[in-house]
Amino acid sequence: MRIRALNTTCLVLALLSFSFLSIQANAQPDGKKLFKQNCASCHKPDKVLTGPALQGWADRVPDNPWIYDWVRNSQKMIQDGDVYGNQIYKEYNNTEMTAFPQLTDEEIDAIMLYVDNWTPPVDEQGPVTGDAEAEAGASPTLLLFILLALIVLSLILTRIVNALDRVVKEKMGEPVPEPLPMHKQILNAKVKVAAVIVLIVLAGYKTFDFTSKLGRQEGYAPEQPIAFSHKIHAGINKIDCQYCHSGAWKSRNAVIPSPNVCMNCHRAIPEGPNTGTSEISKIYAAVGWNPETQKYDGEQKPIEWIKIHNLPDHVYFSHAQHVNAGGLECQECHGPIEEMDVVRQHSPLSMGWCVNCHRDTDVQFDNAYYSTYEKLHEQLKNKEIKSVTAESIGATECQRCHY
Amino acid sequence: MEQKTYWKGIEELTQDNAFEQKKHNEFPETLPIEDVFSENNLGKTSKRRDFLKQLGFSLTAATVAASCEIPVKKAIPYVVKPEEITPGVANWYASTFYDGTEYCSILVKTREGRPIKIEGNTLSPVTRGATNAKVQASVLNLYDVNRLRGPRKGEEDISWEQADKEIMQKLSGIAANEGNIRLLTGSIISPSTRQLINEFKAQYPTTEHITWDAVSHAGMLAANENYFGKRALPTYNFDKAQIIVSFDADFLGTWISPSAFTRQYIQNRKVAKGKAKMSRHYQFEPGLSITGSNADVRASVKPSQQGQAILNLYNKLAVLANASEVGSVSKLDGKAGSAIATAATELWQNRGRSLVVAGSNDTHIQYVVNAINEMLNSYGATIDMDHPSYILQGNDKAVMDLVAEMNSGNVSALFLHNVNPAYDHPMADKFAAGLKKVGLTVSFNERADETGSMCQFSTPDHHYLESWDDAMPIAGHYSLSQPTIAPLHKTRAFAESLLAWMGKDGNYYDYIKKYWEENLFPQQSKYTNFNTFWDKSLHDGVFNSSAGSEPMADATDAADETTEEAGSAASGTGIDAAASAIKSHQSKGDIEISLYEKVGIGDGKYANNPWLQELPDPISKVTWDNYIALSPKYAIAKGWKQGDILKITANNHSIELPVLYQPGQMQGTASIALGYGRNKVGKAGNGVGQNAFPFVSWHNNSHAYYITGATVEPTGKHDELAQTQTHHHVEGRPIVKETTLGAYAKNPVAGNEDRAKVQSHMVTLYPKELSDYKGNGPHWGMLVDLNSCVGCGGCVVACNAENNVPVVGKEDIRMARDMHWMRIDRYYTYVDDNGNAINKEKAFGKDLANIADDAAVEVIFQPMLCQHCDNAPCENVCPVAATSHSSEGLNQMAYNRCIGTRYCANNCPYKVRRFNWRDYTNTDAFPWNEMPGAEEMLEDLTRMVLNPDVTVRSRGVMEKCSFCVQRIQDAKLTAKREHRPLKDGDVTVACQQSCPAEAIVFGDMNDPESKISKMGKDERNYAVLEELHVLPSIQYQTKVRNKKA
Repeated sequence: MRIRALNTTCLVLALLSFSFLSIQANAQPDGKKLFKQNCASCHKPDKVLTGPALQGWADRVPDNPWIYDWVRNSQKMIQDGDVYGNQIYKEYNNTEMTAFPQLTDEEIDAIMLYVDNWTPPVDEQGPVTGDAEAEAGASPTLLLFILLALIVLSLILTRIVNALDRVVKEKMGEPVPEPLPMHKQILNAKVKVAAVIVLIVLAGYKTFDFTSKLGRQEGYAPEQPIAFSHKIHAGINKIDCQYCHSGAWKSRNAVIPSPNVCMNCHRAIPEGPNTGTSEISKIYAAVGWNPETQKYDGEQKPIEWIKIHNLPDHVYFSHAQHVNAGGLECQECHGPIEEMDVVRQHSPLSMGWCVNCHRDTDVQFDNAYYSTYEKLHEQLKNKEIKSVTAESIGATECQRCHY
Repeated sequence: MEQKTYWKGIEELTQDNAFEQKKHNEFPETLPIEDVFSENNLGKTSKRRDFLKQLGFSLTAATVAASCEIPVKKAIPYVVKPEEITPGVANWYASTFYDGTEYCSILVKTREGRPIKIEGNTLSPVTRGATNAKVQASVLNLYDVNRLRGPRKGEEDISWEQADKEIMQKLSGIAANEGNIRLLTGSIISPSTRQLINEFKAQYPTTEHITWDAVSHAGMLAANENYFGKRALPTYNFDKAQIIVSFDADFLGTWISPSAFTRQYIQNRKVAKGKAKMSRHYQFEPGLSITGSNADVRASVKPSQQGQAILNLYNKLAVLANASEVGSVSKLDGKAGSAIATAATELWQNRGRSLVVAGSNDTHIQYVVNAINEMLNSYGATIDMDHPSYILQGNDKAVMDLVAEMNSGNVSALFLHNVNPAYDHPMADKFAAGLKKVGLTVSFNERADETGSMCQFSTPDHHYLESWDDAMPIAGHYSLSQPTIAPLHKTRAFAESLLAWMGKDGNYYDYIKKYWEENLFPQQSKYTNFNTFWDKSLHDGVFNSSAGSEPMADATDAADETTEEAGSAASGTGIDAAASAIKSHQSKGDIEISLYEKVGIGDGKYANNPWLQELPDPISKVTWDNYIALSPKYAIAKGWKQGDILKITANNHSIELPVLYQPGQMQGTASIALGYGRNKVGKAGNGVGQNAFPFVSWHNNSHAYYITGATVEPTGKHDELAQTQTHHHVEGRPIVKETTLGAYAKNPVAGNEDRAKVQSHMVTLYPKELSDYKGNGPHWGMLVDLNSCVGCGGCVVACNAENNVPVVGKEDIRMARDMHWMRIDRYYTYVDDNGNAINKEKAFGKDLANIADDAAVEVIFQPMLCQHCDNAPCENVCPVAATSHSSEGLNQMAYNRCIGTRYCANNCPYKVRRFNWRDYTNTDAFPWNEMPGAEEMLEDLTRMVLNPDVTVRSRGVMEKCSFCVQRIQDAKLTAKREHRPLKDGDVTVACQQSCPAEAIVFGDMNDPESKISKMGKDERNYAVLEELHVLPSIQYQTKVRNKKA
């Protein structure tokens, strides 16, 4: 799976760099770039967005220079009573088109050429499916099998050794003792004691390990109501985490963004690379957005996300403390979130995990708040102590988190 | 002077056998295993083998259950997040609490859109940030499951459209026939609503607006109308008074505006080095109120003698003023008589700095009080009649007339808003009978209470936290209420209902805004734009008009006619007429019953509030009940024991109540609290106590809150009161310390002399560094000024709200399982007539029946909470280290670690640890786990009041005061985010914030600039049980009494 993903990534990169090079070779204005920069937030080549679909524009406009005037200052044309101009102005809810006086005729031509030649991208990747099992290393079944094989092997070897021993003794004329039955040979007192001890230790370890993990969900990656991909948003498009998780700066909750935040971008982006329109339309359904009429006229319905990172009720955790005051990166606890198509819990979120970090993290004395620990700071400066960690100022005490 | 002996209750004083036995058991009850296996529950008798079987089964079941899959949790964000809300961050809104009896400007804390805590608004010059128990608890009323969910016709739920249609149809019919329309409301201080009512009257001219207060001040209103031509209460300035004389006015507990008065009163009660000055307070009353317990001189006066006592004072002052005395007034003897004489002298010496108040509802008495205050030049100094208070406007006579009118069939429509006369009117039966003869009855009450359930229509009003409103408590002072949550149910604002029935469109918000634009905006010059003015007023919650006095738009009709009538009796010949009316009043029978309000329950409006029901009465420490408080001497003479149920009959009405031995109760008097015995208020309040309102008598055109000639007889029944006072014991140790002002002026260590000796014994084997944390972060500490604490209990409720402290119910209180993190200990001590302390042998020998004088009791209040000892005895006995010490001096409690051994509670010298005997807040679904009263707290709706920043504790764990660690952590985080050191005052704990007396100081003891560090060296400071060397982080300051001794 990982290899396949890598292959496709390489392929995509190769394709991209190739197209980039080919464009560089051309001295003409770059229609695609100009379109993305100026037009794409309201227009699509083949579909209606805020403004009309652009393909086939030449058949619709009254004459060829019309388009230049329109792009540079459509409002003037509407006021001057241009018939077609007024017609589309009305058709699209009296939305004024932004004026682009800086665009030259060549540039407009390039844009329109790009639009006319545009074809829907071919789905190269196919749908992404979560196939987590392949990632697992040696499975327990395999280990068990090997163990079994080893036991059988050791039994065979024992038999061979015994048989050889007997043969030797017979040859030497020594008395051959009545061979003990197989099970008695194996289960002598020493082995029994050893087995019991091993069993107790193993069972004890297993029980402790199992019970201490009760309620923990490391690796938990449930299917969400919307197949949202952090890889696309935070990874490929490099959207800042706190653009959506705005609470992380000022609140204990990082906050799952409300769909109206999604709409800031997705009003203009109705299609995604992984799932097309199927998932984004769920946002529209939630906020009651009608992409046809470009209006919020439907019923609103909240999205019920499945909570992945669950702390027990008796733990008080504040994102603001860690992200804002502590200056931690999200990835330090949440792992390589920008690589995840499906979010999974990266860290165990166990108390030991929390405490270990509190033991290792140094106090940031440049924050004036910590001036109250001046004595420790002095000692640190005089090298009387090696470090002042969060633990030194009480961050491993019960009531820092439990109240 | 004798060493004082303090005692918490009569049992301790008399060393009652059962009490002595009980006090050696930390947890008075054994485990309820028998109860669990009893017939009622599992239907099995308890056998050892059965027990083992059950144990095995539960263990297996628990194991199986624990290994099941973890439940899937959902996270549901807003669809469109309101800009100002960040989940996890509290929003604060300024608003106004006014319930028809008390006004308070407040700040409301909301989390994720739901209000969870109320705090005082310091921008208000009226209340100055003070709150009290009722205000603190009012947030819980919002989530009361017994509120109506929408309009009803009879018992049937209807839509607002249908309700409007049917009511308007009837109303227009009545208007066409010129039928009488009556609007009976509680006091309304909203200028907008009053204007709207006037508009309503203009549209329906046969409408009369009548105001009803359950506990009325009509007598005082009438006296002021007569004296000043203003039917209003004056504004008092207790902070300007050096001498305060109160005749049964419980101004620190229930009288008019207690939280505001407390904040004023306490200004002159705080002493400090170099300021050995405080006001002197005389209290004359029959029963022991919290005001009386704070007085420097307290004397007993029967309710019927109150007028005589006030006339005595008048005459004494008249002599000093060379004015004419009122003739033939018999002189009071005993302690009351001499106290009046000294009070008169001191009042006269402090003319212009003195204040006399009386709680009586008798016009004539209040007339004399006005005359006294005028003689003392109080007006314009300690009393402000130019800026009168409008918070109580009830008119007893008008309501009596209305009852008669209703019974005669002359009322066609009756609208009831925020009143419950079918419960709290002395003639409730007559009112109920009359109600049936009215053509159209509509109740705006929030629940189907005693009155509402009898009305044809219920059109419930919003809770005040859901509603827009405005208020003018005092002339010139305005404030706004704003909704802090969308209405939980299909309720509608009272004003909007009126608007709808006037056939007008529009909502109340626009109406208020328009009123403010037209009337208040022109009164100021700071803002030229109305919207800026409005936003500022809304933000601050208050607006103080520079225009000054402005009469309340008078919407109450009946006022004029009745007051003329009431006034004429007195006005004719002034003071002499008043005096003769007072003198004509005769007492009969051997016992007088004084009817009073309790600090928590008040007039009964909040009977369904479990926090208030469980708030121990500041004096008696009784919860969940009212009772007949009798002097121990009187009760013993009659052979009545505490808890014996007596039948009290008066006014053709009888109730049965248990006896409470109340030290300080006057011989021959009894006190019964009003506000109990409701039967249609909800699960928590139904059937708690007995209704004493029918005992309210009619006297001089107003209600009198006492009755003479009652018969009291034993029933032979017995009931145990749910009292918290005897749960812990003092063993005669110096827990509370006090001195007199004279002694303090001479020596600031007075009363605290033994501390030096205790401290000299403090040696430790540890090197000093161990206890020296300076420069290593904060060390939190608290200082409680016993001189300021009036014992009102507001902090207890504030703590409940802040820390999700559970309610346990009456049964569990009886078993000493109260969960309050903060308790106000109340100690009694005996003094002789000169105020000198006397030990109990002197007071009554061996037999309580020989007790000398019941008034000879002094009271000290002491807030007691976890002391956060630096050498905490609880910490080293915990076998699982669930309680440990933090580097910031907090004694931490990790609930998830606690296994419930209760060793810590056993080892705590202060008895401040609380054990969860049941799952009080998040109940197991077992019937025996739901306590009557407490079950109200288990509803999903009620649980919305919980503070999401504080863990809800489960059964079997210990809990205690955490020094509001969530607030400390929050303040620290804010400082860290702003890259600045913590400032003194960044952390305010809930009890400190709510305290109307500002008795609590909290802060960082390691910060040399903090208030607590600066006050930390005061000579009055001491720690409780300091000799144990547990090094508590809480210190107390000696109480100082301003008495001669």
